[in-house]
Amino acid sequence: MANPELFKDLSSRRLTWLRFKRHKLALVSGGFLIFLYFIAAFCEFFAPYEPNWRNPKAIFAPPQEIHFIDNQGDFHFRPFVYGYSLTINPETWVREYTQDPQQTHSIYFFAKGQKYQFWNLFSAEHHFITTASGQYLHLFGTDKLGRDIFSRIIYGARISLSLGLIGVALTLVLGVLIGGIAGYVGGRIDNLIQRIIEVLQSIPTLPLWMALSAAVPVHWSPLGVYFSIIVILSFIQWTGLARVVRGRFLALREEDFVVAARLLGASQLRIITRHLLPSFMSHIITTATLAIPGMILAETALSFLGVGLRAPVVSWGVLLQQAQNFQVIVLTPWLLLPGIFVILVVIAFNLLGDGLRDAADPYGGHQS
Amino acid sequence: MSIDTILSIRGLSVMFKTEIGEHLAVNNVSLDMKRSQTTAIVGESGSGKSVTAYAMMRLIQAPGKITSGQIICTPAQQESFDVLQLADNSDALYHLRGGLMAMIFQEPMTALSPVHTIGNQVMEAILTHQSVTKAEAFELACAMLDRVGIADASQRMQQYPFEFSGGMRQRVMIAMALVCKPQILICDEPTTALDVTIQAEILALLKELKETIQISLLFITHDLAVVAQIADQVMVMNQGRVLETGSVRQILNDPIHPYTQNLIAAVPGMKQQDRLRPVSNKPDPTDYPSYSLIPVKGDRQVALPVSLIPEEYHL
Amino acid sequence: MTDNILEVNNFSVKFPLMKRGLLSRQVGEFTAVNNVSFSVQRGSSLGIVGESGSGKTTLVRAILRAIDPASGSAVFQSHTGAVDLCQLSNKALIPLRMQMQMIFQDPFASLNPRMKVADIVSEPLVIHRPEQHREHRQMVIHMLERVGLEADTLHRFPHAFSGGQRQRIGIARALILNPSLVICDEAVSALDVSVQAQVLNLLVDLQQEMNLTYIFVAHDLNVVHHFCEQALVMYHGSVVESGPVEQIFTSPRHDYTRLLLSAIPSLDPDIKLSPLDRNSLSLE
Repeated sequence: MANPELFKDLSSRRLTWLRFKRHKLALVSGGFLIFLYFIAAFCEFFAPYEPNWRNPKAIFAPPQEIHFIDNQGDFHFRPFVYGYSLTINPETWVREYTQDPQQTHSIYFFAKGQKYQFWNLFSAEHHFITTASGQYLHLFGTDKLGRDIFSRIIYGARISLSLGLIGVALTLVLGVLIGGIAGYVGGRIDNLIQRIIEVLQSIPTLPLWMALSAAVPVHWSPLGVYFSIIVILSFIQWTGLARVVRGRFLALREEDFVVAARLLGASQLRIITRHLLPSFMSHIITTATLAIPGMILAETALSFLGVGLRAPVVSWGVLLQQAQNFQVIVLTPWLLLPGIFVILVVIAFNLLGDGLRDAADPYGGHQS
Repeated sequence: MSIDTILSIRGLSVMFKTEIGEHLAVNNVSLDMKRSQTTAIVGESGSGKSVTAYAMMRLIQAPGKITSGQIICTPAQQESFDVLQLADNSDALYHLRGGLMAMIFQEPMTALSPVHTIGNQVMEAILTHQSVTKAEAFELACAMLDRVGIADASQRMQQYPFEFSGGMRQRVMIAMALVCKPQILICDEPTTALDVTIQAEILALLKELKETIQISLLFITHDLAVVAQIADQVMVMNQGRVLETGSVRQILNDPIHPYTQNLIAAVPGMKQQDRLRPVSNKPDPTDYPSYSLIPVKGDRQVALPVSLIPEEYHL
Repeated sequence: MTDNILEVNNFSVKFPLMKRGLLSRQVGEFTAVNNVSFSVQRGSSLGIVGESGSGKTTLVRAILRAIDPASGSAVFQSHTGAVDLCQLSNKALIPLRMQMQMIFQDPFASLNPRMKVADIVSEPLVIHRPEQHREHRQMVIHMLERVGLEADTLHRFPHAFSGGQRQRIGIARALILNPSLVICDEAVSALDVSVQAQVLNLLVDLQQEMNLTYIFVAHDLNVVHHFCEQALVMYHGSVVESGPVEQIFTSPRHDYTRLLLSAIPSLDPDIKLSPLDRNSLSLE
């Protein structure tokens, strides 16, 4: 419908961007995810504490609130939290923390705090937020060993989020390669690959994952477990993508512009790299974006069940393992906070994927 | 039979908003459809001819919007009303689509559901607009399919659209459009996707229907030869505007507007010519600047300034 | 002396009918083109007309070996001598592809939407004349001028153009290697009538300048009548009539040709359409 003259000089990438910009939710989700990945990349700096540091003064302590006005009614530019005072309930013997207005712990930005090894490259001690030594800051509370949940969520983001990305990258390679072969070669090989995919997809995923991850040796290093979990997850996930790629290949192979290239005498390699792959790159990116939350959820599920990543590795799934019983929900609900982050990230990826999908189809309904 | 106006469009404009700006697809179009006649809108792609028809049935959807105009409809033995004043989702609008006006499309396959039998789809159309029993609907559907030239109608009602050829599907579409006895049938390029022999059959069917059931046809096409065969009144559109209106003989044998003249000259004829005379189709409004329609001799109108209209046409 | 650039003899194309299942197998075959023979004179235009499903597109695509023919021969007079296109391997065909090109029906589908015009038009050069890469740009600009496009189109994408302009880009791509045989597969069917006239005129001009031979596939008989000297009429995969266009149009011999001609609407409102009745004709 639109006047084609107005589209002059716009590349299809630019058009896609123009269309994507109209999806406000997708745009916000994209921004949110970039923000999270940024924090995860520099988690040592953003987290106030090491993930395994224990605060003996705070076991199962609730989140602290940030204040600007003290109990005298005076306003402070520097935000502060109140320290805990511990009482033991004489009837139930439960430790109860109350926030004690007598102890104010000021929050400092870009100040020196705990020493840490940044990316295992050099040691540093500046943190985005921290308190003076001897004082403490637990914005999301602490767990049964007195470890800071806020710091652990930030460290867990690094593992959980990167696992999604690397896993999907591996899925992509497998899916595009195998699906591409099936779609382009066709015939007997296509038939064989199709049947293998059907068999793989018919196996219930969770038991299969559990069986495979149970086979990962206990004595492997955390990094080894991390990569074996990625491989296990990708092993199932590629089948869906391979099907998509195969379908697109089959459809595109008959497109006029591909036939035209063949009649020009273009080699198979040229047809695949110059004509076929660019034509469904956007499709692949969209599918991949929508596959990332699946990866993250799968990791969370496995770790929650205790067959995925294991302590001392910190991932959101590992953190949620602590929230397995009813007592937690009643007495220490802040241990469920990692779950909120899982939900937010999954929703954000889905919204982003939807936006990308709508934007990436520039020729759907173009002709009047 | 008196010739009066069944539908009158006044100053219709439709705007489309896109990522990069606004586009006036229909620009101040006026049109009178005479009862029981065939009015053809001729134009090339992007002329706004389909959008005009969609506006008549209130089928314009976002990003499109009707920005101004009136569409006065005067059904037989009824008060006239403005189509654009009907509330969305109102009963009156519901009655308008399918009941008063019906539409057939260029590609019947996209308008038919592939998973339902032809019979079910035709009966569905009957049952939604008329209060009849299923058995009666079956009889009506059968009779209508027979009426549009589908042999063994009761047998073929059990079949699915993919078992029908393109021409047969278009006949089914016509049958579905006619079951509720509409007074206006809008045909949006109904023969463009068909082979020439099938096109001839469909044109013959539409002509015969017009004469026997006195339906008013609005025929949208880019093919001037089809216009010559079916139309009574013709309206030539370009870039969302009307350039010329008149009877089919006036437009085809004696065009006034240079665009119409060029369009006719560009058709490869049955006699061999050396060269075709092409028209510039570039969206360049300076080719045919926006003059408003003025009436000229012989009850026709042309969008040219008086100075450019040859003397003999002046009133 | 006849100078035939292409001679097609007893040419047939068959498609296998497959039964879908766990292991798909062939259960029969469908003959799309049945024992077709014709020849095309160098520098002339041959029209192939027929309704949808008549096998006309399959025939020309099989001659160019986009589809493999089942039997028959298609002898092409290349620069280096006569070759039977049906006998060559895909690899041996590649150098010949410079000399035979195709213009497609759909100007939207036949250009890669993700390539710039410069890359689309220069692709044949990149494939066949990689050693002259310095001159490619100049050759592309020259070719675009010849088809009536400005040099500033080079860096735009196909979606910036109207249907007629896109078809010109497709023509530029087909002609940049200076082919001798050009197959136009419904090349003007998707265009508006005014643009169709421009493109037809352009094709005529280029034919004279470059001594091109056209095989012109169309369902619009008027276009073939206007454009071609010789024509074939196809029906259900077979040629039912062939000969000079004037003869076919003025004194058709086959009933199917008569049926087609009777169905063409006239531009004159006073000449009423009176198509023959399909059922009263002996078409097989």
